[in-house]
Amino acid sequence: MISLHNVSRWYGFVIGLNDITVEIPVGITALIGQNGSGKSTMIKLITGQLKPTTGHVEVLGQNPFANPSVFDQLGYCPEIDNFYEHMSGRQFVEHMSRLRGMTKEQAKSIATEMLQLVGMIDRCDRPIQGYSKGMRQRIKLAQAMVHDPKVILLDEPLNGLDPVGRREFINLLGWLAEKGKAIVVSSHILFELEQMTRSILLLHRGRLLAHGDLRVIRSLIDKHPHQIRIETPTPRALAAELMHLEGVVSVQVEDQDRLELQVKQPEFFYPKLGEIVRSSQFVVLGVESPYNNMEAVFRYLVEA
Amino acid sequence: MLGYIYRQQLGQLLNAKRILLTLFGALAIGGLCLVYLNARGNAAPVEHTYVRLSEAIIIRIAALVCAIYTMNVVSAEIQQKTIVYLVTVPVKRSVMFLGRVLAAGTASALASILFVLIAGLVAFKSQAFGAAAPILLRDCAAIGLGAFAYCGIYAVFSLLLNHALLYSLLFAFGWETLVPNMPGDLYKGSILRHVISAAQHPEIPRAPNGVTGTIQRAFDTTFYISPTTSIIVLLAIPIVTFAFGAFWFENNEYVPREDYE
Repeated sequence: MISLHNVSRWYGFVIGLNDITVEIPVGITALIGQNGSGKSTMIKLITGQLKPTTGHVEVLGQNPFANPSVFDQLGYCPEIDNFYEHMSGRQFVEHMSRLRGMTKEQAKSIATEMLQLVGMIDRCDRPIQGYSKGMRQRIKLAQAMVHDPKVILLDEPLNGLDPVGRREFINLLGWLAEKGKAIVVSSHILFELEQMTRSILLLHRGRLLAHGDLRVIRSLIDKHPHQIRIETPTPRALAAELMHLEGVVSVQVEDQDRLELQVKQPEFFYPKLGEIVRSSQFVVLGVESPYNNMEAVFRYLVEA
Repeated sequence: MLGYIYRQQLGQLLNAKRILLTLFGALAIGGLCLVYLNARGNAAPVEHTYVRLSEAIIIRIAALVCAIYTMNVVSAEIQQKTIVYLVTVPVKRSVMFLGRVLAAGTASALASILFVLIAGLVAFKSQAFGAAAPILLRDCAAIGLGAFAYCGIYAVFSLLLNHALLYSLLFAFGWETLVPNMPGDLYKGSILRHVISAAQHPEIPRAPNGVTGTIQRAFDTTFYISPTTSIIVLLAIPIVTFAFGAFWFENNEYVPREDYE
């Protein structure tokens, strides 16, 4: 749905994006990176606000820059919190619907539907200037979805949303992804991104550091062994069994009921763990991999 | 879509708050005209008095009003960062620009015409108002065309330059004051002279004082542009600038200005 081929973007002598080639498929893709990593530049290129200095960007097979036929299929929730402050939330969503070619009646009806979907229907007739950050966020989401787009770009969409709103929003995105939409979400709240998707696109200083499934990326990082925590009433006995397995780098008994291991090849380790537990009748209360999450992957890759 | 954008933008420019402000502005201009008349005395014919008011105050204020309205076309959107919504909807950018600049031109023309009528009321008073109708009608038409010409030029500034309001004000009060008093035919580069010419103001004896008067006397500048030429120029300026603006907006990047945080 979205593809970038050898895309670079310079701002004078400063490079914003450096030779990026990537295909973004249907489903949710998390765009992660530190400040200045090129996330916003990438989103602006995909939404046709900027032109690449070299390479080319395609959205649904077309160049997005100033291309109405692309915008017909593209919903964009920008990071900025600025609106036409004198308008009400409903007026703004209706206005955006009219700009998308809807009639007055269609715009009214779709605006009501979208405002209901984002939980703003009861507050949408007040002027935007009195809205909280979370309410503004919901209005931005509503305007991005009025035309049922195939591609949705969301720049920091969780900013300002309360926990209930975040949960609702994550569910909504899941539902949209199931409907076959390509959704790109940029955020620095990695924990919440992880709840949405395991497909990531990691940018660092303008370069694409990694992209694909988080688990696959994690398994390719050999420098940092996977940490696995096992809860068991007999940690010492289990440790004695596990420490001889191939790929186990270290074993540490943390408490009376907890064991922590560092493992290089978890795909081989987990089946062996199951076999040992079954054959030796160990009681295992829980297994977790605390540093196998998006944040750890992000840190490992960026620090590397 | 052009129609919707034009109506929507015109509605924004002519909302109740702005109309009220324009009316207050018109009243203030009326007051200013009265002060000007009192300072000049009432010996001159009433047409001459009106012409002086129109050239010294009304056209210059119209140029200022045009600058304010035109900044809403692109500059204000960039500053408020709402430009992002305009460039990511399925509307051709050229159509977006034309709808908005035409609305700015219309709003500016309406405000300018209101100012002309106020000045006419002050100068001609109620008893002579009917007789003054041809002059006022010509002035309304000329200032309406002038408003679109000013809007076109300011819109181009706002597409090409940061802080476009500053440059627009420099044009309105710097260029439009100095250029008409430059030697040779340079005065023809001033929209103000074309508006005056298109309005067919009667020639009145002048004894200008101050810097512009000194320059004028030094270069022995005399103004003559035929009304037809001026009307063509005033029609051509918006056509050229709007077309250029539409092309430029279609093909160049417009993203929110971060330094306005």
